[in-house]
Amino acid sequence: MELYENIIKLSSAAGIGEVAQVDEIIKEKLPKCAKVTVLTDGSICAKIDGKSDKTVMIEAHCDEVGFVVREVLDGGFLRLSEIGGIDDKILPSTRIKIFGKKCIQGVFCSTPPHLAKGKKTVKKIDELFVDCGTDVKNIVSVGDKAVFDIKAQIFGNRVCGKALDNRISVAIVLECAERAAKNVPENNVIFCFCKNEEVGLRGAKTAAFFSDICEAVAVDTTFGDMPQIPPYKTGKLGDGPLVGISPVLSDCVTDKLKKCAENVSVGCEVMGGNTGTDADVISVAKQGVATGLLSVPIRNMHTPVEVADLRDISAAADILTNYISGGAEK
Amino acid sequence: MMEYLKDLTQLTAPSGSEQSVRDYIINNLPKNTEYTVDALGNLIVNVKGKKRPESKVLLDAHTDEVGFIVTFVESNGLLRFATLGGIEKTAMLAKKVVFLNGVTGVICVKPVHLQSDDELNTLPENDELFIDIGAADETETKKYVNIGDTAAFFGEFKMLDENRFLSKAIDDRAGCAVLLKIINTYDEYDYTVSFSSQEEVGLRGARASAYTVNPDFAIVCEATTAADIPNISGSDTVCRLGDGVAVSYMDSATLYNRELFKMCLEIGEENNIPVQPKMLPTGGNNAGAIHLSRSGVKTVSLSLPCRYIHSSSCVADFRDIAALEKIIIRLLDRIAGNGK
Repeated sequence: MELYENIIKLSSAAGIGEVAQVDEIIKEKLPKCAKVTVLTDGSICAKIDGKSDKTVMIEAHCDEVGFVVREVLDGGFLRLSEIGGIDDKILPSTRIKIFGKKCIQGVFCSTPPHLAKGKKTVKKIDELFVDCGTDVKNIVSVGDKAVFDIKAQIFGNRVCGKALDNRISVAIVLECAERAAKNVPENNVIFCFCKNEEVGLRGAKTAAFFSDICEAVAVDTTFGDMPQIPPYKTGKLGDGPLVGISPVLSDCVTDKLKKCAENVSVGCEVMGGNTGTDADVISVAKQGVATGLLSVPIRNMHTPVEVADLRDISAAADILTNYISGGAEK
Repeated sequence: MMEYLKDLTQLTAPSGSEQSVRDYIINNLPKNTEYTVDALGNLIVNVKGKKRPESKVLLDAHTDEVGFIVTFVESNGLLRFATLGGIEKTAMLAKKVVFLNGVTGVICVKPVHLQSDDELNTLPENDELFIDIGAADETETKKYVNIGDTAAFFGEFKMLDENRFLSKAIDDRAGCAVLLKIINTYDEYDYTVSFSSQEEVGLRGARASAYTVNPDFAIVCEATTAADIPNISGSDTVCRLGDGVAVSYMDSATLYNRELFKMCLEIGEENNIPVQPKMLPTGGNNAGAIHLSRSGVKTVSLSLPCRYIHSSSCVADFRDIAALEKIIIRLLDRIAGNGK
């Protein structure tokens, strides 16, 4: 299925700062009839005309958490800073790809047990180094970006890989664009792939000003069920995507999304205020935009081994397709 | 050798489940080589040389790697596990593992967003760790993985430059690769090689194979910690990548035969083979079991320096492996020729 193949490709590719492998895939996969505009920060907006004058936005951020080089040391070692929230505990012996003059391999050093004196503490990224195995002073410079090095893989009904936050949503939105190209949507639709979400919802802030939109749906990931987290903070993998309910979201759009889920399983995610997603900034763009949020639950968020259920992903694509084709008004 | 190394590191063979490594070695022995597999899974190879040795020499490398064993299947389909051998928590968190049947699992970690300050600064307890194989519940999980099944790290083999490489299980598939190469190329004297099982869970296989072989001398061919990374200096580095074979004078399991230790450094110098003393008396390997076998065996450990040992991503230097092969052959020659 193309949706799943796209997830594997998008997850395995890098999309952070100026490293734009993901952008190339998005541009290639967008339907020919879409009018594509690339904004100043690299965010991609693709417009497909509909039956009415109204314009709605379907948005997914396409950046990922990763790293930036702050120091290139002798002997092939680097010091990095994180881009976005990453748990320092998982880093030792984690492999990364560094995008210098060419793409090279590195691995986070782990301190051997014999040198861990006394109680074992968590080393922060400032005290960790990346080993490239060989001198890289001619290849890597300060400011170069890096991401987890892992290929996405499907196991059972689930997919595992880095950056499923938010490449599964990118794949879902691409799938919706593909379907909208074949079946003229109710309203004009801007399919929007925004940058810099992981560093503060920045891409969506400017992208929401790009066109006169009256309504928007942000597609993102949320926490999946894990024994370490209370159930009320999570969505169960396989039980469907979650429609966001929050004072910052539009009840009207939320209701439409629920209505559009007629044939597929869907849950709710209730938040007391900001959602922590691009919906927060899209909703206050210009004169204000009625915004909804659809989330797919994933486990191990912001690690190289995020896990999502393929059925939740398909269901999210179906709900959004229904929404785009005016399913809520019927 | 590179081919052996690549193939062997990528086999899944945690302690107690070493069959795939054993089979690979057997398939790559020269024709008509005599071998036995004992009750513990040790593969003992008797190499017939041109000459009879003055002393009986045993070469040892272990076939197992650190790994995981399933202790319980939760109703939600997640697996509880124990480790086979010493694995740091940070080396496990958010890493992939592979079961013997090829099923992939990932070790779960609570999302950083939901961790308290305390949690961010401490490592999770064992009962907070689970392996996820992508199954929806206990029934689905049990179709693929059950209690007692074992897994090892997933960690592909990659060259970092023309000498340095990255892989899981360099400890001790590097040793296996070196000894397999020697079996295929060296036949001056008779000697015996034990590809020993269960080293990581307490030097168990070698205890039995040393008894069976009953050698006068033993050469343990290993991989050892190299901590030659930033902010670590002097003997804390243990040994350095690219500086040659690490020769042990002491570790937590063995006080090595002083004569053999010196002989190795000497052979290195005389033959221009890079060697370095393993500077910190840490770790332990099959020498601990072998030197105490029967009424005692003169034993030496020759090791490949290896960074991030017991993880999915160890780094080592091919030049050190080449040196390891050379020095073992010289040492074998010398001991078998005029030993005792």
